[in-house]
Amino acid sequence: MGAAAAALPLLYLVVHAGEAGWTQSWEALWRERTLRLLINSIGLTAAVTASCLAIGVPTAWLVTRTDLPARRVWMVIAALPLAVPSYVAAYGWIATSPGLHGFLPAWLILTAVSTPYVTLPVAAAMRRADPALEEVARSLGRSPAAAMREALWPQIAPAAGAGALLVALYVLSDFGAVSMLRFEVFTFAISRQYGSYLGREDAIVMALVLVVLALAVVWTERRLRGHSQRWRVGQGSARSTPAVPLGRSTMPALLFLLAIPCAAVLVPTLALFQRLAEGTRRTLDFSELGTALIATCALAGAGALLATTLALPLGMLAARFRGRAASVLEIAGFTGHALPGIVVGLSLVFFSLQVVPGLYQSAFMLIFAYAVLFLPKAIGSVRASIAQVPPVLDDVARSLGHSPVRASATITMRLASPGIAAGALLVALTAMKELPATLMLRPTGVDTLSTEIWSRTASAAYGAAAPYALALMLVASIPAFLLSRSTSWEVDK
Amino acid sequence: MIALHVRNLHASYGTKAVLRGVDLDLSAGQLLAVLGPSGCGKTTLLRVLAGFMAADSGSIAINGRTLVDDRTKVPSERRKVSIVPQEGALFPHLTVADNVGFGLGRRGDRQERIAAMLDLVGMRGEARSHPNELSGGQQQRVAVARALAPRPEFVLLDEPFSSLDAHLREHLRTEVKGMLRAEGATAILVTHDQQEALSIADEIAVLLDGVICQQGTPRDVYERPASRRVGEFIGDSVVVGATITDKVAHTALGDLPLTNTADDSTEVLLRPEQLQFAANGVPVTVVRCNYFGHDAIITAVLSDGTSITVRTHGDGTMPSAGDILGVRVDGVAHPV
Repeated sequence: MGAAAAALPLLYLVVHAGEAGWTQSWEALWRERTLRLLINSIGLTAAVTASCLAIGVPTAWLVTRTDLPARRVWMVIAALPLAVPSYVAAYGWIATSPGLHGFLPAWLILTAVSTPYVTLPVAAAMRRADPALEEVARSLGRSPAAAMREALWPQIAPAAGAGALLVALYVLSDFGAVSMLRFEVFTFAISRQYGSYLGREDAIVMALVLVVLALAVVWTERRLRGHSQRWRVGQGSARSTPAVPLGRSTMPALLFLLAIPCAAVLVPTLALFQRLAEGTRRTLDFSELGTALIATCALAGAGALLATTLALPLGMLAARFRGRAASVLEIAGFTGHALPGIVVGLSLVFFSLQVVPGLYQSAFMLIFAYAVLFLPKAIGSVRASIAQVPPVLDDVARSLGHSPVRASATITMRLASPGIAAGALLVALTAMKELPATLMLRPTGVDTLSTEIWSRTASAAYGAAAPYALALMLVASIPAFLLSRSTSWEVDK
Repeated sequence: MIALHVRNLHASYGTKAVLRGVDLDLSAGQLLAVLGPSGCGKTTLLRVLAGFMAADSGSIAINGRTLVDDRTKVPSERRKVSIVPQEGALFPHLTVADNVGFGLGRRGDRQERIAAMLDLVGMRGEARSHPNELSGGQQQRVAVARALAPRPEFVLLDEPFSSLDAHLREHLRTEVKGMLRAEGATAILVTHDQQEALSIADEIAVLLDGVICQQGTPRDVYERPASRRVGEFIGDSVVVGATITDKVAHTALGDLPLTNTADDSTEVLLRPEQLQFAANGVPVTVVRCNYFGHDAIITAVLSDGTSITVRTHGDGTMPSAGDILGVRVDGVAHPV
């Protein structure tokens, strides 16, 4: 049922495009504008993914394999950009220099905020990598660099690929930064079309193209990954690798590590504080901020609860049973991952308008959208928590007379519950940052932190947006911190 | 001909000294087992020999070529020292054949050499398999083939059989010994398993607390340990007090001939299999009986309270606790 819920918006879009008439939809597709959007979207995605890999992999190496002073602290610093929603970073930079727009700033800002998606899984893979492989390569005549290329890289390549996949999907579905920087990609164009009542049918066609693009990215990564199953031979020796001494390169390395957090966190934060200081001429409306904060927490919390509830049976299946059912689920999870927020928002708007008008612009529709968007994340955490519980415990409970349902409820679920709860918290904190679906589906008169930032920056009220942006960054830094500490940074598969 | 010379080797992790003056000599074509309990520094010694870790001082030379001394440190890739790590550490992304060929470069006889190595380790049929398709024992065979393929100056084996089950371990170590011999390879096996060291090594070096306490043939080390500690580490032992006069040890088990004269020793070491129950022997009281099938270890005390162990065949009648039996000693005692 959960999988059906995730697939619903997509199915509905296809059906709707069909109803509008295939010829008409086809015409909407074959326009010069579509080609331009395609080039812009693919270009931006490819550029950001490439730069994130180019920066993230060396960063991961520096924080795991070298004698860098305070390595653990640098790991947390490298993860910090995760706390900054792309639109907050973009807002910070625009507040600093108002003329910014177009490809170049979009590329740089999206690179800055999404590099941790590569850094964290690659760093985890480097920690897991068996140092004996590199040593064998050295003893068989390879230089340190060649040993790294031939023995270490194949071990971390799957993680780098998974990280690159996350970056590419993030960029394709990013709406806030590209809109603020007025760079015409699909998400930006969809919201524009949606805004002009005449163009709503075109918006649906574009949304479908965007979904196809995202699925193509997912497919490419899976193809490139190929036989990742080969990547488990024995346990390897449980020995940590000796740190590579950096010597004179320590300072340049530290500067390199600082560049991304500066661009993603420091500059926007400073800009926010500066705007905040200027904005004190107008008194800050605390009750308004409080209302937005409460609405944000309530909506995101409910969304997380729904997503986790739907994820429980799916995660259980994925953790305990291999086979066809599990792989179907896995694919459904990926599809959910590939759905940009704006597409889910758009499809649910049409769905509620035409099928259940009573729910249009109700809180339930937005909560449901959060559940659909973050289902893959929730499944990932449920599955990981359940997989940690040895199945033999269930068997013991069964042998002592518990029914299968009772055994999993009293043993597996009980033991997995802290992990599942932590996963739900992560989903809630992520949902708080969500922008496009929230903009489209929020109940009339309700404002969240993200929509407040959006509407205030849209009217160039930079100072007024600052307290909301700061509150959001504070909230979002919690999962970023948790993720950087987790040693088994698992990309939801 | 001496292949490996190690002199006064020191190494440490941070401030903790791990190797404290190791000396080793090894002749070409020999298999040396470095035997020691966990934490004695044997893995560190192996890593320093392979060049994965720097020595603080001391020297290493192979076949007259200096690898490490005060001024030199040859990097790992130019040492021609191969390793077989624990659990093999095969490259999971390469086929068995490519793993074996990893150290061969693009030389002309590459394919022949790979085939020869796979024949040697009996893995010809698996050339195109990936490591994850192999059993633990097969993976170790491939790891040995990979190490031997480039004809290294010598091979280091780091507890290569420890992850295998007992039966396979015994089988494989005999095979690997044969493979090393067929290639004429000089090898160092690092292990904490006394049986393993005694059964396949040409020589054993006992490493305790970062120092080689004794190096010699397995029989030497077992029958004439350099100290009580070495003797007790290498196998089950019976240590009894003795006064030594005229090449004879006077002990509670009677007067025993000695392996050598050491007038200042106050104890002698015997092995449990040297002790036998005999009606006219020294009376002992049985404390405990551990039955292993093929044999049994019986623990007993002498009238002066000294604890002894006796190894007997498992087919006779087993004594029970409290029985009083006579014990006789065969062979010579070793002063420690």
